[in-house]
Amino acid sequence: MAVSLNSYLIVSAILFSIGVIGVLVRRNPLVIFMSIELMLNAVNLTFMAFANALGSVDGWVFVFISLTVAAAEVVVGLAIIVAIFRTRKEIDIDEMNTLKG
Amino acid sequence: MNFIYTVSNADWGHLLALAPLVVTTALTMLIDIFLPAKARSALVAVALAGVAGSGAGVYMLYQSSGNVLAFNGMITTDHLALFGSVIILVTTFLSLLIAPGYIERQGVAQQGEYYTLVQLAALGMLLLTSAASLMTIFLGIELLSLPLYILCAFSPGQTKAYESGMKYFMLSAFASGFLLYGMALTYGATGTTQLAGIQNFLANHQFTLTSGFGPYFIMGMALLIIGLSFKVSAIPFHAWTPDVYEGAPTPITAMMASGTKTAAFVVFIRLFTETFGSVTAEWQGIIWALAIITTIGGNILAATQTNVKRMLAYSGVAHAGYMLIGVAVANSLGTAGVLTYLAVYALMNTGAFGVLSALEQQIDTNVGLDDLRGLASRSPLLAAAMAIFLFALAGIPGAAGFIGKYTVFYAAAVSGHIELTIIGVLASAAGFFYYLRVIWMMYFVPPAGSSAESESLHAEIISAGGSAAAAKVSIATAAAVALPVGATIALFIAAVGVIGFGIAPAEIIQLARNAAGLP
Repeated sequence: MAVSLNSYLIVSAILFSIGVIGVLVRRNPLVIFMSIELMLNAVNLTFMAFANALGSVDGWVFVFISLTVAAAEVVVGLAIIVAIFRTRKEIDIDEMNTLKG
Repeated sequence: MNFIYTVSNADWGHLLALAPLVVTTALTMLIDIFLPAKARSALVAVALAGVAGSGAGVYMLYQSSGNVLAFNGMITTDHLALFGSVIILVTTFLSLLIAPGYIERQGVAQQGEYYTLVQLAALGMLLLTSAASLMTIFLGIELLSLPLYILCAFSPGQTKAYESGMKYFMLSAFASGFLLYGMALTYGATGTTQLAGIQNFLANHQFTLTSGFGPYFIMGMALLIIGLSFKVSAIPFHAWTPDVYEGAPTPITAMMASGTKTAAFVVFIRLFTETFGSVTAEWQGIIWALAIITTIGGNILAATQTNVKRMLAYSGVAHAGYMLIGVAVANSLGTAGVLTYLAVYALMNTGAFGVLSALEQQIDTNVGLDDLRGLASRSPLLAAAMAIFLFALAGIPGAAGFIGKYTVFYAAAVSGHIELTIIGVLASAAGFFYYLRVIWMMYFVPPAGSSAESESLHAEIISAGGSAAAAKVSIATAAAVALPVGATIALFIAAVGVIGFGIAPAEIIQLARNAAGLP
């Protein structure tokens, strides 16, 4: 039984929404980080579904690009989190309120 | 399913603007290893050479004629891309000139990394201006963002800098998710990632909100607007701007404020005014609303600030609003207006942040309004430069900022959006308040501790709660500001540019019109 395009799109929309809610609700940077990854991977699923339905390779190539970029983002993000952890010993984002005005 | 990808020899010529910076980026990393720690400030010369080389590349591409698309429609070197590239290169050049004195005072040991990352960010911006496919747009945005996350957090051991980098990273990655989802849906609706292909598809297919590819496309476009609005810091996606600008090293703030904005607006124009040009009715309303909210909100928020860096950040939000007016009119005239605005904004904004970075070398904290008291008597030239940049930002005729505002508001008026012109003019008139307040502080309020009057002002500051810090600052501000050579040159270039374009704007307006495809 073939799975229809819409099923894929609905699943990826749900995954994306879970990611967005995670970013908005959770306070731990690592969890926020995971939620962002969930968003990006939901988009990858969308790309794959469309590439399959359209019979075009562009979507596949795009997935490789976004996977690579996501990996690079993880490196930079974790480095910044570690740098903050060294100076503060806690990483709750509600405590990050030095900059305001 | 077949996949054809061919690269001709001619394609490589289109990389002339990017190649020099790629080479010097690698060179910077390499030379960094062999230089002793004390000589590393010389690396700025390598970075400057790279920017100059890229500038030469842009000039050669401008002279050449023929096919502007390269690498199977991934990259374009049309006049729009070249115009944006020049603005970005000038901004990077000025930011690099300001940098050595600033990071020396900040005690940054890793100068090699600093200059490498600045060049990488500039490369990302250049790639973004010449992107002709959704893939290259995404790559460009990430290539400019990743180095900037690190650069924002670059001052070692400073909680503020780390916080700035963290906030920028979180919110920017979040926005990238929306942007990518928008690209996926646009691709699904039109079947291609190349902007030319999408434009072609939209011109030849009818759609409605509920049938065919309509729902995907509308959703995709909305998500693209969210993602890009974040990058240009349009309200309501501006919340990161003041915090990130305040915590980042000031030369980086200068580069981020004009460079990222230029790259993002070029994409805005390419994506909406050009690619989605045949379906203007579907998106114009949203950008129209964003432009109005951002113009009004940015000016109100800027007026409430006492920290000059945050004030400039919110003023950047307001300027993004004026530029969005040019996007909202959705024609070539609006595009020419936005491009002119971006060019003059790069000079005046980088100049203003340059003055701030010079002041921060003396005051250990961010510059507040009170720290500028009597600057004119202590450092007349620095105060004069700041006054020029602020007059330009305010949009007073004779300085370059007026030219940018004029071209954008003119485009709105003749394209039947007189309401945008009226709102823009009123908002910039209101904006005079917070720019002139800084000039008032510099010229007409005596420096702290020099007279009885300022003693009482000083006492007010202390009673207002800033006691020890304010006392320390006012003592520190009593002396003249030492200005490093690089910063002096940068401020001179920016000031000459601002006054020059203000008095003789014909050239820059003509170049912007050419880039927008107008005679």
